Amino acid sequence: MRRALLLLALAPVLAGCGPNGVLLHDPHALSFVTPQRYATVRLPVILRWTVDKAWVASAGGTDGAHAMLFVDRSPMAPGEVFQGATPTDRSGVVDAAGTTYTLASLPAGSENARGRHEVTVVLVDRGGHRLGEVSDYLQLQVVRQ
Amino acid sequence: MMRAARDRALSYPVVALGLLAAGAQAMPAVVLMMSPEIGHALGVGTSVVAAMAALYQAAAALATVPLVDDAARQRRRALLAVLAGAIAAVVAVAMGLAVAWWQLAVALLAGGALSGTVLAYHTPLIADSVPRARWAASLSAYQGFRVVGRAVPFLLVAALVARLGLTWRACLLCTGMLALIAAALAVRLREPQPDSPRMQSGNARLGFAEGTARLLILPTVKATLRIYVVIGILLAPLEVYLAALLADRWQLDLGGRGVLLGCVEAAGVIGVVTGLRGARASTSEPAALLRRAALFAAVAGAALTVGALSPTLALSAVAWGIGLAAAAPLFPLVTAATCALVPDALRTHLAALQGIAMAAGGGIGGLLLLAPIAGQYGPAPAVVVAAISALLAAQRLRSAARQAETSRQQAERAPAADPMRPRGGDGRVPMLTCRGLDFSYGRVQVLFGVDFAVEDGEMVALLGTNGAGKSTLLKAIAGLGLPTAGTIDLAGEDITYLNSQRRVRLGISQVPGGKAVFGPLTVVENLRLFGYSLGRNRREVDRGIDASLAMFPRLAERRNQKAGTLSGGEQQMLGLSQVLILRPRLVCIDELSLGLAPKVVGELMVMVRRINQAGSSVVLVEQSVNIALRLVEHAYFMERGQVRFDGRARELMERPDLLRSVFLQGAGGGG
Repeated sequence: MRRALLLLALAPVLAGCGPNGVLLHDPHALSFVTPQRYATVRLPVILRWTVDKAWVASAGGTDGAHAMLFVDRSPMAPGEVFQGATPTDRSGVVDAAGTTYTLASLPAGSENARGRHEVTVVLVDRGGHRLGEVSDYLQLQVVRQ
Repeated sequence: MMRAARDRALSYPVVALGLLAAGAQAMPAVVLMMSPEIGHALGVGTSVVAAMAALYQAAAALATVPLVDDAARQRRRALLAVLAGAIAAVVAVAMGLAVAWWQLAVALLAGGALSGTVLAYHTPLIADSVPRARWAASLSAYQGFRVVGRAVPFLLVAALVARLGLTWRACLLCTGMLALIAAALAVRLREPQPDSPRMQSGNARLGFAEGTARLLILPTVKATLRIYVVIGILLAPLEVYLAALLADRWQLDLGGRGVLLGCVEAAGVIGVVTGLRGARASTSEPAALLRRAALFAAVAGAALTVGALSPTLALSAVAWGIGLAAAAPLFPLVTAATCALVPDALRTHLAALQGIAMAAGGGIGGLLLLAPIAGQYGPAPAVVVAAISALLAAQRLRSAARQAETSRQQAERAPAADPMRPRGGDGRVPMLTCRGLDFSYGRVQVLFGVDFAVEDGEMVALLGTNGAGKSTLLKAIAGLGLPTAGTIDLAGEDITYLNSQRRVRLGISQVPGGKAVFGPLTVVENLRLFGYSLGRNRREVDRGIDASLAMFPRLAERRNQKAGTLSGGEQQMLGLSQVLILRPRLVCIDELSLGLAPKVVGELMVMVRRINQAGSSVVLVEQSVNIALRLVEHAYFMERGQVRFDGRARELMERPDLLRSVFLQGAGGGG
């Protein structure tokens, strides 16, 4: 019983260790502008977002900071570098230099009968490390051509 | 004044436990609702976060087992419930600070394990705190807190995230703080003092598995467990797909979804009050409560279906409000009905079983059932399937209501252990007492109200025709099968539903007819096996083996011989000698003489007499009447599952009407 209580008491300590960099308030440093969330679209679709440069600077971002898009896959954790496939439309990971990107195709294997897809955008520095926890996501209904 | 407090539906224990339950529900609700945001922040997929939330349910279900198994914990339920609530609140706060997915998983596991106290202890604490007539009302009030506890996280997310621009972390921190306040308000919760000594004493207290086996004999309990699975589906899994449907079809953002679902959930309070009004009229009648629950389940199923297929958002919202309002009274009504059918000491077992059905069956099973449907066809069909499960539950509740009367009769015929159990006429406690024992193999009943008693140090013969139920009675005494009704006491302590291992420890041993040894093992190995079955230390086992071999010199000569190569008589001898190691208080010997030469049987009977003289009570089941009646003073005769004769062995010899059927020739011959 005592051991169980000790383990339970340790659980929050384990869960809470390293609270650095956590966001309690969303700075809205990164937001999709178009299309609207849950919009029905046809490919190619132009994705547009805004970036708060002041926040990027405060987060330690350099001139090389840019957005990275993830289609139907989850981004890496803050501070990490994406370790998966080479960024392309087909892999579902895109390095985007500006604040727009034209999504021409969906990643291989992500087709589903309902045509629902999710696009997530995060910020990365020049070295590809994710900057903080800021992100935004869109859920799109993609109509087949 | 105390009595007045107990008679109110909203007594302090109900409020305190309701607050703790509400606090416990908030954490997984926030995680499920904000799983995309949490996933993106921690770098994992939404489905991974949803799977981690399922871990919470799994941990909660698993945690109920040790909480019920341990008698010491049973005496500190209130303290553990408050303590778990407080620690879970801290876990929720810490979860808001998690920076890696595994930290979130650990916290969810810990939170789930802590919420096992909600499943296992809350309803028994309420049932023990208020008079039986107020159970339905008090459980409804408790459910009201749970409903509010489910609505608050949605409204909290809407307010904090959509309005104030805070993140999921802030939501979890707030949730943890609210749960901490709830735990602080519940700190005066105390273990209820029952009006009568209802809890079982230490030795005979049923563990989780034993209690479960005993409860599942009651048809209503078995039937209502499926209802709890549906209640579980109507909680977390349904909320997930309602939220998905609001996003998918009506394009509501997080704030909109939070407000709408919060209001829809809060409608459950109306349902609880409506259910409570009806329950007041029929508080002590389980069948009436279950029939009422069936009506609510049918309404819930129909309304949820209409909501899922509705062409307008307004109609969906109204229909879901009605559906969740109708679903809310299911828990208090079914719980009050089933609590009334089980012995007091088994309420915690029942609550744990119901909790497992809700958390594992409904929570995890519901997600596993609905996730592929939602993935393939969208959230609307998933909601419709959940609604259909409510309609099926309505049907099941109606049949459970019909079975309630049978279950009530069974429960009354098999009361839980009571330290004040009536004793024999001379004031002595019999070594073994079976009262009104019924036993069935599936649907075939083989024992009918058997009354059977053995005094301390007595040797009785149990005789009867083939298929009369003698071996079945021994099976029930040894714990190898559970009776469907009646009680078995060992030295005044109820052992009806203890498992066979515990009965061995309490002093019951059985020598099964013709199958008492393990053939491939040697004589000594067979004896050692029996010793270890008690978990005794090696020295004690060696001493027991020496004593057994001293009593049976023929076995000593064959100590290293394989048991399978011994003669039939020697094998039976080994069976008897094994029993000696355990030094039992009661030995049940089944068909010792079967297939053996008279000379060998004579030797074995000398051994049986010596075992009896050494202090063990003996039940001797025999086909051979003349052998048995030579040994005993007291005999029972069974026929077709009933005891036809209970009296002096000599008197049985004078009852040819009984003995004629099988033994008359042998018995009459006297020889």
